[in-house]
Amino acid sequence: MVPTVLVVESYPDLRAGIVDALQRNHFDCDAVATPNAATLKLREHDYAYVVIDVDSPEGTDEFVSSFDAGANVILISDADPRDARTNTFAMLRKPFSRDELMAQFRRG
Amino acid sequence: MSSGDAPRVLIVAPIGRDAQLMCTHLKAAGIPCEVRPNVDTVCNEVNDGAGALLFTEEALSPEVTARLARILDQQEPWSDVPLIILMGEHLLDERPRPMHAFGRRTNITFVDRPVRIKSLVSAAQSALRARERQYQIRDLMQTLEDRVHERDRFLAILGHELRNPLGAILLASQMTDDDGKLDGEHADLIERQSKHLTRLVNDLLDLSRVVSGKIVLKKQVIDLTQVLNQSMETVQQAAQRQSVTVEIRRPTGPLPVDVDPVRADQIVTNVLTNAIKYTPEGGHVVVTFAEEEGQAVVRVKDDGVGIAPDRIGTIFELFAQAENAIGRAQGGMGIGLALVRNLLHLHDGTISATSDGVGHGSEFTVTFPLATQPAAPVVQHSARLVKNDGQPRRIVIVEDNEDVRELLRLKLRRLGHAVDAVADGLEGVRTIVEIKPDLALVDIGLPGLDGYEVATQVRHSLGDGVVLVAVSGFGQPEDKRKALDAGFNEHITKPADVSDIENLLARFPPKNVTGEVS
Repeated sequence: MVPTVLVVESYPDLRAGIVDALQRNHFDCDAVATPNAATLKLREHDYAYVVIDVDSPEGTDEFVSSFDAGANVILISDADPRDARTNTFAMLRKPFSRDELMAQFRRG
Repeated sequence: MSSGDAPRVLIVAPIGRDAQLMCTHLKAAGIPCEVRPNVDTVCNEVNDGAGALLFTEEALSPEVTARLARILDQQEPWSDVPLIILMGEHLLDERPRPMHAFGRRTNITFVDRPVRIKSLVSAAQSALRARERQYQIRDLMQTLEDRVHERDRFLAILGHELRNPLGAILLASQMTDDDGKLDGEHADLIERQSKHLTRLVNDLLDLSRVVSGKIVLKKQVIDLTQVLNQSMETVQQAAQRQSVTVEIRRPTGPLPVDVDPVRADQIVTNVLTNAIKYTPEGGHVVVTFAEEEGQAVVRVKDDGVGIAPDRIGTIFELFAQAENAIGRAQGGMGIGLALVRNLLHLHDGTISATSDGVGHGSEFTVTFPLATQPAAPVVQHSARLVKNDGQPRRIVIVEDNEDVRELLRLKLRRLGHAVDAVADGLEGVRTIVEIKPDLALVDIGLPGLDGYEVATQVRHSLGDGVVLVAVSGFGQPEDKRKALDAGFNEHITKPADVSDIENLLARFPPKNVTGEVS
């Protein structure tokens, strides 16, 4: 079965790049720009993974905290993961390569 | 004490009418002062507005002196409040004198009594002056602290704004097919994001130069509507990509303005780019040029995302977009409009914005004072429309960055030219003089000899027999002038586009093609 991923990224070209990378690795992707749009998607579908840009201009704290600790959530951010306040979820610092992105899924 | 308050002398003299008398004399000399009932009261004011402390010795019992000494020790790093102590002629008890109790604390003046009024006034004036300097240092420290905070905020925003385009470029560059080739869509994305990063860096550098007063305007009277042609050329690709229609409404006559044409283009281009960026697919931008009350007015109206009423007042401040959700999603740092406002200020022009709110579009109005003289034709600062004739040239590249050198060599070879490439200035001079190419593209920051020296030595050996082009990361008008003074024919700013090089080749006809050498 093809794993499904929801990508939450506000920067259009980066969103397109992540979706391309995932599709080339045989993931089925949905992509949205905001946590609000992501919440609607999550009501409609179950996703195996959710990729969230935590630096989204609308703020993502509430959205991220809605996931259980064991969920397959990958956070992408400007910040160094070593400075992260929590290590509940996998973290990836921008800019990242396709291999670095896929490595997070292998860990998941 | 706030920066606006004058520091005052606080007086404690518990015996007789000494305090009131001193206060009267000091006020008569124009020195602000107030009487306090005891030293304890004054202790609370040492870090909060005291200019200087004036005590008689009788006010300082050993306990009070110890307490005051502790307070003085606990002052802020910038603070060392001056203390003037009027010593008693003779005290009935045998308590320790204050000069011993205060030990090594040095900002204390002991004045023997009876004291002459002139001496008292002079001591108070010196103390207040010293204190004023301390407050100035405090304010400077605060300013520096604010600047550091501002810099940190700037670096954080810059980091964010660089990481998104870099992320998009990195991922797109890896989307190759089985033959290792990139498709047109990903190549376009890389080009688009690279150009976005280039504009970001250019705007940042320009803004820094405007703020530090380093931009020198080269003004001439031109017709402002001609600036629009250049600006439209720059933005039309973005408008087409977003399917945004740009409608131009020109005035019936010319609009002569005394401006730096390059900066005027930058202003109009930035405002147009902004309107297109924040107008969704299928939207409209209307540009109107008009003369109104001695001003040349450019109005750029769009039916895009609009501006919230609480943001309209800050839209021209640096990083305004970066703190706005819509602006950040579009990759805007809020540098462009801040730069436009500063550039307009240099031209005695203005910019303002109106909007009926989010989702209701916005209108930006730019004004320049109308010139009294008629306009001269605008000299095109780039030759974007010139087409290369396709004839092969002999070209030398002098560039120390291996990737840049090899990419440039590859591009030029693909265009059919014979190309030699070397990595340092000395080798550059030797190769150019030996080969005598049609064109030499020379980096400025080279090891061995810098690009200016390369140009000077080549001119010395070959005269005008070769076209020299400076390719530099420094793209300010002064840098271009410096390159021309050193003997270059042209100056182009990195990153050099294929179209920049094509334009150059079109402008300088071929001479002596003999085939590829390396």
